[in-house]
Amino acid sequence: MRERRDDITEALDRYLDNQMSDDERRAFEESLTGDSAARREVASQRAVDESLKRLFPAPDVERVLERALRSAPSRRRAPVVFRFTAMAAAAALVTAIGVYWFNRAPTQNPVIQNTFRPESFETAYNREVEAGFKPEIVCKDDLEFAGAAWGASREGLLVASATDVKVVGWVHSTAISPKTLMLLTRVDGDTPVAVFFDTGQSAEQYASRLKLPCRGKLHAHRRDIGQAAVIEISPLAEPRVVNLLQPAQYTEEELRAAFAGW
Amino acid sequence: MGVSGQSGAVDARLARQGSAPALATEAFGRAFRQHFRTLWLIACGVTRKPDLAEDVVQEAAVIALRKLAEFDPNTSFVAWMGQIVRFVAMNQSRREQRRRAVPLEAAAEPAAGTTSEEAGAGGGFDPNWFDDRVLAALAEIAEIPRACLLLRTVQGLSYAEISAALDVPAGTAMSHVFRSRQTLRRKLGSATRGD
Repeated sequence: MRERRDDITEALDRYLDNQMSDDERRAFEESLTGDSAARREVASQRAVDESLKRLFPAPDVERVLERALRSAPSRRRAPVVFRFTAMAAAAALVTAIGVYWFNRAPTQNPVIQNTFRPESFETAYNREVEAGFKPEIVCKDDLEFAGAAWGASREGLLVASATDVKVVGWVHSTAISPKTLMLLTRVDGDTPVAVFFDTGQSAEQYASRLKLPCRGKLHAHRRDIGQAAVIEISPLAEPRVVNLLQPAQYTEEELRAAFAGW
Repeated sequence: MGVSGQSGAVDARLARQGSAPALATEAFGRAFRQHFRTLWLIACGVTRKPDLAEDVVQEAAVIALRKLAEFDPNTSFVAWMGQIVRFVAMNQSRREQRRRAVPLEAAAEPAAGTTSEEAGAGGGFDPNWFDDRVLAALAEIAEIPRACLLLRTVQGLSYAEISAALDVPAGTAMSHVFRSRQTLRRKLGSATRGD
């Protein structure tokens, strides 16, 4: 009996793997009509195969190749003296231009547009969890908090009080753009929930490069409020913090001044 | 070949980058594009994470560009590059496993044996729910067999091609695929039948 089951399994494997001749295939398919267990196995394997194809769609090769080339060393090396002179000139130029560029919004900066590579929300989240969810900045009042939110997203936002949500503080992030801020919160006592603040413009700018978490591991919920794009990442299926966000009643000058203190 | 419209710019960059003659770097670009999906699936096989696999292949390409002069054009590109991808992927995977000590991931990752009653109140077949189970069940399979399974099932490679890409005998690759399929069917039997 066991031998027969092994034969069926072996035939099934060859059938599912398209290893049978036409005659073998026909004979096997006929045998399936009287074997409900084998039919279930076939259906089961086909469902698994379809799932694997859904789970592993290939990313864009050009994007990967382009990033690799940016990180790879350049081939042509000039003589040392020329290199030194060129480096000095380049440094002076970069310093001069950099002062101007530094103050521009990242989405307007062509260098950052072309070279910036957002890290995945999953990576950013896991790193902060691993580090104990410790903030770089803890705001002392609402104005400071709204100023931080304004600095990242151009909207002065506050988190409405909720007994099950505790705001921990802010850390810098690069999950959307170089100026993303990540708000660390804890929900239901201890569940770490990260909320990424940036502008909707940045989110659209880098949309093709944003990597949302793998399904089933972490959940992402986005809310757009005015100019702001706010993305909540957590293991929870439902958003718990983004829906608590509300506009603060401060003027843009107050928010700008509060953010300038960062 | 490029789907994003970037291929012209990438080709130009290839022509002036790398440690080997321009012709070699341009040939690298062509070969990389041709075998990219295979390389990415090898990385997926080792790491189980498509996002991480993309980073792995990118890092492997950087290493390959640095070592391009060492590549013998009379040998198989995919075998050479596949070896680098495996090496980088295994390193990344080890790093990820160390991170997995954080309870978050264990809690978030669905268990393969979860009953179908948890699939939702609708009771119908939910592809997302099922895919999560498949992803979890893949963890039960070792790295190289998993890569063989993906290359065969997702990419449709022949066993000879899998053998070349992963540096395993074709018969071993076939055995890995059959056993991996059996493992998945065993783990997911009730989920696919909706018992």
